[in-house]
Amino acid sequence: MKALIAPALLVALIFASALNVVLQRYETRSLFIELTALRKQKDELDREWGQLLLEQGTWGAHGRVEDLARNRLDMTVPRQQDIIRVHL
Amino acid sequence: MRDAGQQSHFRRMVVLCFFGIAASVLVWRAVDLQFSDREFLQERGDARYLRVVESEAHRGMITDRNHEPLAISTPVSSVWANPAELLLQRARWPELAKILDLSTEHLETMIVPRRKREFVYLRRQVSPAMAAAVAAADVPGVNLVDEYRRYYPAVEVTGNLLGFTNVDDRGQEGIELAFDSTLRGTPGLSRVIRDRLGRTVEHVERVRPVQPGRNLALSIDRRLQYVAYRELKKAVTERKAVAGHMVILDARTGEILALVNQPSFNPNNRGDYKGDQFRNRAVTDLFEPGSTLKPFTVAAGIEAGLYTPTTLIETSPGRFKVGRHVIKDIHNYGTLDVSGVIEKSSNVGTTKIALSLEREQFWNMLNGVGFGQITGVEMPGEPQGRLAEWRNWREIEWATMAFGYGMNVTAVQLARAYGALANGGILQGVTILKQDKPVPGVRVMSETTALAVREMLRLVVDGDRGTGKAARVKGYQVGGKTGTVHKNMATGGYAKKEYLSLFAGLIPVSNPRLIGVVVIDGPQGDQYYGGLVAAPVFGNVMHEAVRILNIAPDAPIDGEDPAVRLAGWVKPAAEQVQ
Repeated sequence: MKALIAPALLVALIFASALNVVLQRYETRSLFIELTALRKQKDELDREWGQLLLEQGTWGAHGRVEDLARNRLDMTVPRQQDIIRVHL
Repeated sequence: MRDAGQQSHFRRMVVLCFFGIAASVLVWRAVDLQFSDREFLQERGDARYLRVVESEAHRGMITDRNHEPLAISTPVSSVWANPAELLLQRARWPELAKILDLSTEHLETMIVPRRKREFVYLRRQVSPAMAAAVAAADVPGVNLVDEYRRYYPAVEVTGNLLGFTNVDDRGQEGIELAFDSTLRGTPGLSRVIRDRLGRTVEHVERVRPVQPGRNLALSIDRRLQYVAYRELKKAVTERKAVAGHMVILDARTGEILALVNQPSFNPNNRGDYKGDQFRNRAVTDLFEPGSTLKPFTVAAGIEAGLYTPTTLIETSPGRFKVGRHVIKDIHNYGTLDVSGVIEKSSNVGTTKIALSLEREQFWNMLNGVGFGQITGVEMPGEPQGRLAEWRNWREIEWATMAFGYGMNVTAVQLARAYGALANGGILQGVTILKQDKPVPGVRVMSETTALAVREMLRLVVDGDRGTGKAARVKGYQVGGKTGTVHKNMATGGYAKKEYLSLFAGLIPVSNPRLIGVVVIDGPQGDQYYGGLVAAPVFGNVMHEAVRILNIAPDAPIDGEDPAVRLAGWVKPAAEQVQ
């Protein structure tokens, strides 16, 4: 009877480890799927960010802003004598 | 019975032996496969479903010193087709051609001859709207693939400075080329299991992680870059000049704040341009500095202790014989002091100063401020420039060098040399990258010399008789030197009617913050003097630059001392406003 305890324990351990392998593998796959989804999302966000930067760059191009300021809004660069400097 | 028993025993033995042999053959084969051919077989097996896939590295962004983007990589879609599949969809070709903005015939010439292939690009790097339209149409055999595309929001303003990349995202010119390895990064590799349809089923291992390219912060200020570009372009267009360039240096740190070129190009769409237009002239082109070199001749004289700003020099009758050659001034200026020599830009005066020095003393000054040496600015194609060794000088060379002929420099070199005057005699390195602290420098002349020469440069612009009046900026003391140089002809000798108009200057003189060098190549018409063509560009650019950078004025504005305006400002009365 006593001789059977050790093998029984080992068999139990083997089963436990096998089950664990299955669980881990499942876990890995689901995490990988999540990772892929997140990467995809990151790519999408990257793309959007790049396009927003470009859009900002286009709308805010100095040439365009200057043209709008001068011609549409009738703005001018202040002359030196119009500028008052304040020391803080 | 006995016989039968024996016979059946014999049969059993035969069958058992047969099984035994068969089994050992199988075992042997298994062992053989497992040990001798294992690697080969494993590989063939894996090749059925294991794939190594590359994930593209994002190319780093280039920004200016205030983190404004100058070059961005953004994923865009390219449209590709499988010809075999698409050939079955002829009915939908006109619809597809319309979406892709191609003619149906063009589509046909792309698809039909390539019917045997499995992959044909229909259109690369299309707009997001077009990609969406293609996806919505969902024509069988037509697919989208992601690629990175480089965009330059500042367009031609930074064209020559940044350069560009090719379709494979490799830097070809300018900053993109010089810092290619930093910007590029390395694509990642990972091993995955794929099913029959090419879908990734399992991620096995990461062979190499993606190393995205690093971002690069340049020392450029996009606002200054724009102003400089606008004014340069205006001048080059108005004067019908061949080309032009301008450099603005931060006098305190040695950083390049603006570097603009004409002609330029649109890096986002560079189809029709030729190689010549891509050149970053301010870095790669050598020219003779002409009169803009004279301050250094005078600095050498003062440094040697032989001259002070008030030492008198006889320049009449406006001609001076050196060997068989005659050095001429435009007018006979009579007796001038050293300041007057710079203010009038007298060739005779500077020649006399140079010839009265030891050759080595004169050479030491020119060499000290960095002529004939590369500046080490991190851009491709910088030449060394020419400054002959003093031992080999013929007398005429020695004399012409006093007013900037017989040697050559780049605009960046010249700006750096003026930096030594601005910095109280310390020559700094030049850099295009944003710095946390000033680039270290070496002393090349005493502070007194630098101050004295700076005062002379101020007279060139501020003086009533100065040649650089057009560089004035209201409220600031500006110092600078004009230059008008006969262009070197390819055949040797000097072109009679082709000029370079130059201006090199600093602002404000009392505590220089900015250094600017303007080169206008080949202005047409009657006006070709540096003081008339190049100096106004400097003045116009700096007028805005001091406002953008909040540099305090150091000169009276309409007769009012800026210090008074600084101290206590009086609130404008209401009636004044109306």
